Amino acid sequence: MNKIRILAVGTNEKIMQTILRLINQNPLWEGDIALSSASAKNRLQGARYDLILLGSGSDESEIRLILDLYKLHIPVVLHYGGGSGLLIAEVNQALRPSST
Amino acid sequence: MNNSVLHRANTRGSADHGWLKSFHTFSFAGYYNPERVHFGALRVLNDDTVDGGRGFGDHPHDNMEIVSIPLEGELQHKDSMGNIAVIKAGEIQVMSAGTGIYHAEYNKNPNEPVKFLQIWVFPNKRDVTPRYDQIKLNIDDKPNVLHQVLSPNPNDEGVWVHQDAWFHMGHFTKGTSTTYNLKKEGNGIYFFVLRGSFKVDGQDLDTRDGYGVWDVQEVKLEAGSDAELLIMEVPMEVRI
Repeated sequence: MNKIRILAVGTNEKIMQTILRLINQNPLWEGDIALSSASAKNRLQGARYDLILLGSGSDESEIRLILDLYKLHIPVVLHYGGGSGLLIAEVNQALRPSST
Repeated sequence: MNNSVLHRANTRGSADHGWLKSFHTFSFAGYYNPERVHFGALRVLNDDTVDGGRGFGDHPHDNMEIVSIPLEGELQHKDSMGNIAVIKAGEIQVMSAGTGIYHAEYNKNPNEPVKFLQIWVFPNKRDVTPRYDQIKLNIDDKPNVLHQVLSPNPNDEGVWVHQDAWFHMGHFTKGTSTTYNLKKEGNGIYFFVLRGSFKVDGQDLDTRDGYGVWDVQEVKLEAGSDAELLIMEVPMEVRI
């Protein structure tokens, strides 16, 4: 079974590292982080993702332009920090059939 | 009614980590119920009991308005903005996580549990400068009225948040009644009974029951016993 691949985008490196650790703790998920829109662009060019999480400092409009550029239809959801306790609900809600 | 939602106390999610016992009105951590993710901008309503001396270690948040209301005991707070503080029953704490904060919350008392509510509200703007505040409330001084404890306005009564949200609390004696008037069009109102029983908009509620209503201008409240109530008015239209 393929893991759910998540790209977390945000500029607070310490928080992003925490998010990455939490994502990869889940055996069904696999994560990458991008600390800028340019980094996100590189990631999205080279790998498949099922979901994009936007943390603090990220620019949603730039991310959506990148998705349009590569004709990618990936749910984009706002995230609220690595220790938030919201991660499971965010991923489940975003990937529900009616949400995509 | 199709403009209300009832969350009985015994239908909440729960978690028992030994040192932490928590009831979740909305999906949180390992509790996920797609029918209970949020009520408008109100995303988290956790009813926590932490053993003596234990607590939540350093962990991050961003872009969330985080409100803590101690109900019993004392909570030791420390954060990445340099704040070190203790909050206790009768006080309220607020943090705007904004661009990012780390914080820890511990039970200050080594022997007695601390009980508190964790309430998270989606902000109306992202990436604000993080901030922390706490104030003492004077709810016991004047029973049978609603006291504003949170608003969007720094100069108004209570603490403030980056959202068009208003919180009120009140202690009522059996048989007393009042009316809650909506503060802003488009908002919904979530009632959470802290203790005792209330009739809210004709709906009987007991301790720790939650009841949300929207598309209303005012709601009649009547205490069925000596009782305490928390009211959270929040925008219903939010991007999550």
